[in-house]
Amino acid sequence: MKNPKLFLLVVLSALAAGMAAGAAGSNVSRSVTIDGNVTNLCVLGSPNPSSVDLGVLAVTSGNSAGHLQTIANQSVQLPSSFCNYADTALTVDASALLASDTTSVQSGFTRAVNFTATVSKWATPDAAVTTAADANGVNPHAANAGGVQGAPELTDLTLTLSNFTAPGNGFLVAGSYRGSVTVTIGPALE
Amino acid sequence: MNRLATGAIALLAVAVSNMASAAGSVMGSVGIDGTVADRCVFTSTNVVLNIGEMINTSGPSGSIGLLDPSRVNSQTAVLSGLCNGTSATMSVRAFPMLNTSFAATPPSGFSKRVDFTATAQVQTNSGVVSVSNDTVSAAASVPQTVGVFANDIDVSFSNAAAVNNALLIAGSYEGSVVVTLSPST
Repeated sequence: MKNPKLFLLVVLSALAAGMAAGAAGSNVSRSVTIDGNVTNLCVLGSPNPSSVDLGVLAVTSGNSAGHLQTIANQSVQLPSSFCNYADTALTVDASALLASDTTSVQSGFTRAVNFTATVSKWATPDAAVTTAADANGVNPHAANAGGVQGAPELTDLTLTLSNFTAPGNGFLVAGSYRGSVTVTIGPALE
Repeated sequence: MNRLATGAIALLAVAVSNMASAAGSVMGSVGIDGTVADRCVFTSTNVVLNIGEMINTSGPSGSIGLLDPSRVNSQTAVLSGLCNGTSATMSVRAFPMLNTSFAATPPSGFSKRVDFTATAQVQTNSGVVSVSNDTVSAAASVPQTVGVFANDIDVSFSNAAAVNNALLIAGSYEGSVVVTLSPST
């Protein structure tokens, strides 16, 4: 019989050689995914100036005395206005200037001054509306939407007040007059 | 007569002494050799962080619509793994958060990308090993040696910023950090 101790040594050496031939492990990876969202948002810049003073509205002398004088266009900036999503539109809602005295006016007089309000630089066409109050100031509001802006937009909006007219070119009743413009920005209506 | 008897006794004596050696203990040694391959293993799964709203929706007018960096910078994740070799390394690769629904070029004043730096950190017997990668770099970080370790790997975020610090376009955003363990260089 062969020496049993010698036989056992040969077998174990073969096993050891097999293990030494094994390769190193491969690279391993794990991921950390970070998910977030940005909500739809529109912001209008603070109006500059925040109010418009037209001063004296009526002609003070000459043939047109007492009638509405020619009033230059007025400009208000809404800087850094934006929407961070697409398909938005502006709406401009204007209220005619009305005298604080609410007494019904006599024929040939007016307590209202109409005008056109236009907000530009958002989309085409501009959001524009013209008030159509009557001499007594009835129906002073008018609103209109502008075109749809099809992409996120950041811009300085310009509100222009123009085309000041008196219904029937009547004599303006005395007193202080006040009107307003409201600009709204948001999703375009279907 | 006597000589024959003597020879027979002598042979017997020899035979007895041989058997006595065979019955005693004999020592020998057996060598056993083996190897363990260098390996690294992660013992945790992938992580998903949901950070919610990313922009300021209130506050100073100049900040509304801009990224709130703390929404990203405050995030942390924990992975865990081990390596059994002294030359094992760890590297990290960071991918920016991109708007997943807005495919077009951002209009002027807007961005659809948030960059950040990701750092993976692990405590080893040699001390803390930290490796970082920013999302602007085209490649992963240089691997750092971690050696033999079995521990948590802390992932943290910093320097979050929208491209040009612009307004972020609305939608869902996703980015990622990949941490890699390599058993040997």
